[in-house]
Formats: sequence, C-alpha cells, structure tokens
Amino acid sequence: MDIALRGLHVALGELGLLCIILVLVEVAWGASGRGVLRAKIASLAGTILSFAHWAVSGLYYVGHYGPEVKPVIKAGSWPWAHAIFMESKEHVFLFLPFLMILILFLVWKYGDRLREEREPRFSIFAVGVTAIFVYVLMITSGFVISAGYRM
Amino acid sequence: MNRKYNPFQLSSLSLGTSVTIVAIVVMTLVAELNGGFKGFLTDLSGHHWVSKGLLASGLFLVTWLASALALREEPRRMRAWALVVVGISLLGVMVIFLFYLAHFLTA
Repeated sequence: MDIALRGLHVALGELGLLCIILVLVEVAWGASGRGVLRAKIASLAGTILSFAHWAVSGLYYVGHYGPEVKPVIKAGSWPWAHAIFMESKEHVFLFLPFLMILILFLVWKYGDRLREEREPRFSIFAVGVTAIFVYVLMITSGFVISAGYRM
Repeated sequence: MNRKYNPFQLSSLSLGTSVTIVAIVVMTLVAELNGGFKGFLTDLSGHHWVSKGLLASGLFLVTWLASALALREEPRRMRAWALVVVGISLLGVMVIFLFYLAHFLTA
C-alpha cells in the first residue's frame, strides 16, 4: 500500500507539473480559440491534480513516511535528507494548490484576451513559472530524500 | 454607492494567495520554535502538517472573499499583483529552506 501511495504521489505531482507547462506553452503560442480551450482544460486539470496530490501525499506522509521512513533516514548517513529537505518540502508544497488556483483563475477569466493583452500573459507566466519552480524543488527534494533512505 | 460584490478579481485572489503563503511560513517557523504551538496544531487534527494545511485553506478563503469587499478590479495593477505573489513565494521558499538548514546545523 505504501509503495502504491508513494508512486501515486509522484505521478500526480508530475502530471500537475505537465499541466502547468501545457498552460504556458499555449499562452506563449499566442493562445486563441482552441489554444485557449486547451489552456483552460490544462489549468483546471492541474488544479484538480494539485489537490489530489495533496490528499495522496498527506496519506503517505502521515501513514507511512512518518512512522516507517523518517526513522530510517534520521538514523542513516544522510539525516539531513529529512531534517532539511523533507521538512522544507512538506511545507513549501503547501504553496502549490493556492498558486494553481490563481493560475486557474487567470486563464479562465482572461483567456479570451491573451492574444491582445500583455498583462494577463505576463501574470500567467510569472505565477506559472513560480509554480514550475516549486514543483521542480519538490522533485529534486524527493530524489534527495529517497537517496537518504537508501544510504 | 453600491458596488456589485465580485470575488473573481486578481487583486483579492492574489492577496489571499500571498497572505496564505506568509501564514504557512510563519506557522512552520513558530511550530518548530514553540512546542506548545506544535502541540496545538497536532491536537487540532491529529497531525501538525494536516492542521497547517487546513488553517491555510481556511485563511485563503477568508482573506480572498473578505478582501473582495474592499478591493476593486484594476487591470493596470495586474502585473504588480502577480509579482507580489511571485516575490512572496520565492521569499517563502528561501526562508523555510534556510531556517531548516540553520536548525540542522545548530542542533
């Protein structure tokens, strides 16, 4: 069960990241018509995925990571993998669902004006790139934490 | 003058997002430095991290919906609001990481 939850949390996170990338690609391509529709679907999917990710990750973290994985990392050669990277990861992650809601709003409200107006495009890009940065931090930290478990 | 209530505006959503991120950072630091606060969070839902998420969600909703009463849609300020969210997010990431780094090195 813990392997399934761990795998699911990784998959949901990476799918969420893919959705934001899709949004930015559509916006960068001068979204209109079908491009705007694709951006809207991607932003909605990304937001739903971020909340699903939150729920699944929470289940894994509380039910398995805390009692089973954390003690192993803390007793191993890389205790800082938990003390620094996991502690940071579990709290910085909480920014993501709210950033995704903001991107969702921007795309749905201003989608039809993206071709003509720079301000909405800039805003979507700024918040979108920030969300991508946070996702990449999550993936990198996850790698370090997994390595710390194996050390 | 009566103004129609419109929560779907960038200013109130951005403010909600920013305030929530700041609250997450503050709760994170205070919980590590104050065992009583961490205990309060744990008692709230059974786990401190779950409680932080629930409180953050509640704060987001309240800040977003309440600020929509006072703020107006200002298209000229769209870029500024987006940059506020970006700045606070990046600062939040840095503060949390540096805090745990220092916490580990000085423990």
